[in-house]
Amino acid sequence: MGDSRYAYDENAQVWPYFVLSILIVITIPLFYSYIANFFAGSQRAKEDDKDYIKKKFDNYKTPIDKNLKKFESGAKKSKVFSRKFFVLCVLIVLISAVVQYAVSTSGGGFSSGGFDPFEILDISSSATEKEIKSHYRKLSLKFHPDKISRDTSEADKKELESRFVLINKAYKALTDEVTRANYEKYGHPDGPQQVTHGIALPKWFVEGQYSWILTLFYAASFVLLLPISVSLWWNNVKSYTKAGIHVDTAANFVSKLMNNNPAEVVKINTILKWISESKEFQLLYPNDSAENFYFLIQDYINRNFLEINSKDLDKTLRIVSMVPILIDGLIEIAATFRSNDIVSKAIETNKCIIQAVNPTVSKKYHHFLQLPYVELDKIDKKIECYTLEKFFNLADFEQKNFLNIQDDNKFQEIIEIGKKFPIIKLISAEFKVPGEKIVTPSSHAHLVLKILIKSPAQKGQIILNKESLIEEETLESLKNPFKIVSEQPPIPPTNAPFFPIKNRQHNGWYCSLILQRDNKLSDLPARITNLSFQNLNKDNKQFLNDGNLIVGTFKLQLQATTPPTIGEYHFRCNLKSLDYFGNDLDFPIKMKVEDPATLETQKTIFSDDEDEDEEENEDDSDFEQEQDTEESDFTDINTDTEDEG
Amino acid sequence: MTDYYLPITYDSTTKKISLTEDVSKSEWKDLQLEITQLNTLAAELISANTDIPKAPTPQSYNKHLSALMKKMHDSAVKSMKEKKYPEAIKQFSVGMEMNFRRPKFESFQMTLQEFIIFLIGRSEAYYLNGDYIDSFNDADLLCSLAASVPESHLRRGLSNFKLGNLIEAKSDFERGLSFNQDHKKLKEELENILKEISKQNGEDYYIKVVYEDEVEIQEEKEEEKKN
Repeated sequence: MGDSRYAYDENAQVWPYFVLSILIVITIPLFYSYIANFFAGSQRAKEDDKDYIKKKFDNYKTPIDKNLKKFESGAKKSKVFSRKFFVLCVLIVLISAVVQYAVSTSGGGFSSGGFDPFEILDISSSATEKEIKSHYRKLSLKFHPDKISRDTSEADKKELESRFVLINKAYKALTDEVTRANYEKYGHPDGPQQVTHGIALPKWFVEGQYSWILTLFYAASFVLLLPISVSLWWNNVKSYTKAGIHVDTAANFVSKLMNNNPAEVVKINTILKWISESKEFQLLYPNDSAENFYFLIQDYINRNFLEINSKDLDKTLRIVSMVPILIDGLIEIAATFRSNDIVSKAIETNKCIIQAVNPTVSKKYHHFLQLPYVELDKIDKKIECYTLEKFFNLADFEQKNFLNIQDDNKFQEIIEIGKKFPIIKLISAEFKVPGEKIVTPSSHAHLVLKILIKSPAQKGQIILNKESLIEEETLESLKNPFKIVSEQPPIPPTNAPFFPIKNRQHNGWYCSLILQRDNKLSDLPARITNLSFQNLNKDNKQFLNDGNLIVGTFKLQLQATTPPTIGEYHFRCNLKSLDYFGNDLDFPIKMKVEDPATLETQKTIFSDDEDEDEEENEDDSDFEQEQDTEESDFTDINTDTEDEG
Repeated sequence: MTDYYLPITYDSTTKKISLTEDVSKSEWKDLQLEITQLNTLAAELISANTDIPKAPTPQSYNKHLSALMKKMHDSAVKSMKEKKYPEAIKQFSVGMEMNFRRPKFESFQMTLQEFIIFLIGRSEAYYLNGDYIDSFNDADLLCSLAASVPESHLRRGLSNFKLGNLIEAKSDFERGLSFNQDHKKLKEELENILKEISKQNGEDYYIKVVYEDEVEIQEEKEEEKKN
């Protein structure tokens, strides 16, 4: 060990393990996330919905198919062979190399630095003094230097001698007072040993001529890599909001909403103007103006692809692919302003982007532009048909004439895809306070929706079992009322032949609850992500007679507690699809807040103890008085508004 | 604190402020609006000839102007009855213009009430004249000015219906009903619109959901009839 207080890993026994543990610490989480990612992707295409997806992306080619393919191959190289995969491969190869090296060098064995007198004397730690003595005698006879035969080599001799010394020491440690005290205090019979620090690196690497490698490594990691990675991370955190949009974009949205003139109606084009001012676009294409982006998006939703050259088309697709994220950020911000108008217009804009449809231009026929091969100019506008449901009521030849498509194969594809269009129907809606039969004042309630997904081709009267719709309240469901919602399969991908990103994660419906009194959002809108589309695979006969029709559930947790005063409160519930035109739901819903105390007082009338009764009655009257005052406050507000009218 | 520089100048003879000439008007649109508002208020304050304008109470409200406006409203209603809708629209609009020009330091509550009365009339006149977009615009304004009045929503819903926005009309009627559940006309219109919507959807807007026990009851009834 010389003068150095450090014990270097000269035999290369420890450092492979040191490196191995570092590699494993990196590899295992990376491997886990890689596997999880891989399975999350495949889980989206669940068994039930596989058929649904396959049928959706069939033969239809959009006029921009070439550019779409190019975009897709550029954006998503391959899910399995991603960059992560290569990093993983390199790490695994490194690990196996290190393991091999460690195994090949471990033959020498370890010279244990510890001193265990029991082991040396080959006795159990509970041995008596007598046993120790007898074992010592046996061993010292065996290893005594005088007993060694002369044939043994010099090296063996030395080893045997040292063994003898050790045996002596061990015996002393267990019998002699002083040595024993030394052993107990310092772990060695000779007293304190030199303290050494093990370094899992060979000496030449630290003190030899190659020490510059280590210095360089330290310099690179602590002076360059650490500050750079921290600053990069912080920059990213600083310049992007939680919703994933640039802070400048978010600030722009906020200022638009703050300065929004209530007399001016927010239209889809207004939203698109706001979106095209986003910082994200400027960062991507610094030479273009917001106006230019706006025109590119307009060209896309109007499907004016012939006038755009291929390079601009690529740019358009790149921009358009980012719009849904921006719209989502806008929705989140507008929701905090409680602005129902802007939230619903933003969702409407999202549909335009996903389907490449402009409802202001296509008037009432935009539902049909979501089908393949259909062109606005060709639709026979003499036939009064504005919805897919009506369309499926027409006879075959009427349908062909209406869309002006005579090719049978094309027509069949249209019908197939039209049939898979998810129409949403409301079965029941109610407010629920977990564990209560009624909606109690000042409690946490949620809205429970029972929804039926059906194809526009399915018609008639269906019979549902009322009891199957009632959720039993078990301890489990009281703990987490939303479990039933998340257990449903995720919503399958949208049929959107023009939108550049297939298999979009962000689809479904937005559910918003609006106060009828002031037409503002009463809560943050929530997205419906899980809902079975299995009903779409049934033909009409199956649909009507099947006892196993799937009724979906969605629950919206109300952020605010229910009103403290008893009465009826009127809401409007709005389910707006992010993907399709013509499958929204809009219905009024009443929240009836009742007082659980009235039920309790009825019980106490029959109680025997009169004193208690009086007390409780007093309590009740106090409570009622409080309510009265609150109610009068409320009516004050009401009369004010009536005065205006 | 950040110092802001605003491109404005003050003209002492007209006693008005204005944008400096070196800036573009479209860029400073919002400032221009505020300047106009300020100038109007200042001009009124100067012409009032008092240091402090009268308190905006209902008592200090200019009764003479109110009478004039009542007359205008009456004649407009008379034109409506004679089915001279374009004339009625004109008269309502003039009445609203008069309302705008009332002294700015008067009670706004009273002014607003007066304005709403004219707005109701004009929305109806537009509707009867077949100008559904204008009728919708007035009704839309009514829905935000007098939201708790069911009739505002009835008007908006009717205009939406005529414009072909059936779903919007439905939610208008529903919102109106939330303020008065027994409103006869609103109930009627809601029923009507639901029929229209199901017609547009091929008789299928409300897929009929029947519960099993109800089916049994129906069957029992039918059997009773047979017996």
